Amino acid sequence: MKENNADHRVELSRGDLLAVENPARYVGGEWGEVIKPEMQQQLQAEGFTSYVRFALCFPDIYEIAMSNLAMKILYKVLNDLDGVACERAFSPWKDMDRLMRDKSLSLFSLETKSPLRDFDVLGFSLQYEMCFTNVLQMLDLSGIPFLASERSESDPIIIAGGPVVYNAEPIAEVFDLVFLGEGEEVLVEFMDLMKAYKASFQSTEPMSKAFLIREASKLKGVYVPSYYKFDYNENGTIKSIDTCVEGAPKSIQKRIISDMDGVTFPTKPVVPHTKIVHDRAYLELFRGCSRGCRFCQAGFVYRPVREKSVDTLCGQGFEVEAATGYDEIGVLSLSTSDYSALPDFLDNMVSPFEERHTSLSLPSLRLDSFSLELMEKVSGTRKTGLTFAPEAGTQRLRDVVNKGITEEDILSSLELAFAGGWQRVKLYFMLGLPTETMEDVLGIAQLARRIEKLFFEVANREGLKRRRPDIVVSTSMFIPKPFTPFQWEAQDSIESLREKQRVLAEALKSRNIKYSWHDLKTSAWEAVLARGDRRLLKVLIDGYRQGLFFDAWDDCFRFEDWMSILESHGLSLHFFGPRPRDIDEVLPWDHIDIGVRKDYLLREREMAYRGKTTAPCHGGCKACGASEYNVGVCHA
Amino acid sequence: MLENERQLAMTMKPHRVAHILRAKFARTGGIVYIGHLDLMRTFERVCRRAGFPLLYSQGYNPRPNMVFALPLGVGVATTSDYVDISLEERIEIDEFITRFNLFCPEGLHISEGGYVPSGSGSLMAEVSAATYLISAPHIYSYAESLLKRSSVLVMKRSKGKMKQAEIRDLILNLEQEKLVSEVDTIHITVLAGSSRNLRPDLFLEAMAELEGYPSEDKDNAMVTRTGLFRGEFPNLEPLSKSYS
Repeated sequence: MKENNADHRVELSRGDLLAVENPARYVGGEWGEVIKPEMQQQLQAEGFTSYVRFALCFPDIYEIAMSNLAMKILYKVLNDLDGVACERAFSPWKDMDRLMRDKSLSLFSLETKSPLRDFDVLGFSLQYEMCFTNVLQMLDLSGIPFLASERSESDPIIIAGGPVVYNAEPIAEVFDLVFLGEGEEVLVEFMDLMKAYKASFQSTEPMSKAFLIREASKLKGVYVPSYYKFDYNENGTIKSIDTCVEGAPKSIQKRIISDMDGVTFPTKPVVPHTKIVHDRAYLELFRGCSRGCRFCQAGFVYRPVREKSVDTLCGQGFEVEAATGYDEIGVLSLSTSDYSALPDFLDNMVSPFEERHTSLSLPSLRLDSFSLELMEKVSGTRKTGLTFAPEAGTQRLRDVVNKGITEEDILSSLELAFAGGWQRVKLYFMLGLPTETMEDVLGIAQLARRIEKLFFEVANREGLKRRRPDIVVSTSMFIPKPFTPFQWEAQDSIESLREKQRVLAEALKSRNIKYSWHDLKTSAWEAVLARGDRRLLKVLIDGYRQGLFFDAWDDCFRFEDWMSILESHGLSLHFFGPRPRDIDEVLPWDHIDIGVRKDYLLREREMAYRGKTTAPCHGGCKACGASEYNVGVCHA
Repeated sequence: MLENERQLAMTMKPHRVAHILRAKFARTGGIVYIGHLDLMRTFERVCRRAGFPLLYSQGYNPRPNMVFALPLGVGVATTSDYVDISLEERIEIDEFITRFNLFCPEGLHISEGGYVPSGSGSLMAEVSAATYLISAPHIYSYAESLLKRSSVLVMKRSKGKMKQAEIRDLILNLEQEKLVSEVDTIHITVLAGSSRNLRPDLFLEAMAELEGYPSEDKDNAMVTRTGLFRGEFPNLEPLSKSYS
């Protein structure tokens, strides 16, 4: 049974707080923070609370964690429940990490400064693979054993959710439970179980953790990693993924929300004291994306597309703006322009917001004349940069990846934009896409050049003399992600990509064009984690023990160290990262069901090889499998 | 809307009169660990939540007009700091105070305020001195002996470089507030404002460097600003006089 003594409070001294970068990360007390008074009274009076204590954990620093919408949603979902108290805990930055170790301080929650050990549940939100080592850091600083199998009855239940858990295998054995898909409903069901579990300690028949996990495994969307066993072939590939507990399902289906208008949305989120990465309130237009770009994991795992109604959005928009005091509302989705009622939504929001000096930010807009008009409307007179993501330099390769954007689309909308006074253009591309040749790489430079030329033509015509365009070309490295039609593809080697970057940089030389690129080594390691299996956990733990964490931060990431640790375990970068997978190979995520079927992904892969595009869902069902959820665009 | 149409529309906006509300505020607890820019942002958001008719600056990037008397360092609490907030229309002071306190995070509090005549000069320029309470073990005797020096030179970061600075003449007065067990509380009066200003951390630094005051005690000293003044020492006048 757990002890829940209130006097466990972790106290940082003034000297401690002033010794670290941005101490506001560690003090809590923000507007919108939830502390349940009854729980505090119980803790103070009895040293025990009947409340289920849930620590919502994000394995990165405050400024990143507090920018995440899922955190805000789940904080509200959990705190809306009677008998449940949800608090927040994040990775302390390296300076605070060192200080806490030196002083033997436990990692604590921001609300009541309770050590994480005192909580009943630690729920980790996993948004990117590079945060895995920070999960280890947070557990370590809390004195909690890493492996679920090593933890005792008195340790908290450790769970995870978020987009990365569709293949969480490299870290899966850390978790007692993994929640696949959207958590708003299943967490409520799980909390009912937790309440019964916790209440049983006050009775003569306390429940065992094994029993709780067993019961939780019956909830739709809950995956118990310890119920599955991986066997490997001699060549290192997976031989089989078998259930090792009777009654465990062969595959676990993700959970989604059907009623987007009824689902809980945080209109009174915590408003940080300190500037965070995305310092604004959020609205969520819809979930899923009907575009089906073949490299994009989000485009498949969030299916089917489900929209919120304009009424819901406007109501939530006015509420969140008034309750937070933010002067910027970020409108989130995977592809803003695809929201069916976008003009209606903006007509309702823009002018009332303008009167109060509140702006809307619309990321993920597809550029066309309509969206340019929108941007004029929402961003006032500020001509900030325009962003395009053609992803590939030639039409052939854009068709291969199913990026439904043509050079004419780009040039015609830029012609309007340049005439309207815009000068800054950002272009995102990927290097190393399947079937890519040097011609495709040079196509990127040709497109950038054409845009440069177009700017001067328009400037001359419109009499906008003596101005120069500011074109930024940015390339990242293609990573074959699970649950995409490219999940079997090879990943280009670092050497080959470096050569492509060199050729491209040469071809882009101009005073008007800047070229920037993502670190290749980071992407190479990300691929290993994204496509990896359970054998990587000992590598991650070893790396963590050697001081490797905050891998998502370029100045902390040590590729060479990871390579030597990987090798010391008899594993190779090539095997997990670049190696193409045979279509018959058992993939580490084959027991996970996202709704989109494997045969659809294979069909899309064939289409890619033939350079054939697939139209978006709203033009007619493509039978990917997600229609079995019977909601959203599939249902229409 | 075309660019020139919008410019035209902007010049046609009637000139608005600012009602400048001067408020006295306190901060304690966790919120003392936020920096000056974060505190300004927090004030802005409290005012927006409270629905005050903030007067925004004109131009491409309209901002609410808020002027703080003197930035508060990270880790420094206050019982009496001042902010000027420009409003489009007058609201009752009592209502302002009630609503502000209703919508502000734990640790911030406005206790009083009033309107100042517009054109009465910048709040920042008025400040000439500040008082600080500092609580730390045995600090009084160290402070007393520091003040006996005719010169107090400390290293100070200025424009990214470490430079030596003379701070003795910035310290105007020292008093022992009370003695509770091991922890002394001293009250210092120092020059403050945009021309000559002594930050309390520099004062503590000087005691550590020159008097050998223990570094850990210095780091954990509780520092609270207790007053902002105009005029010349010893004839200092609290800033609150400007609106009452």
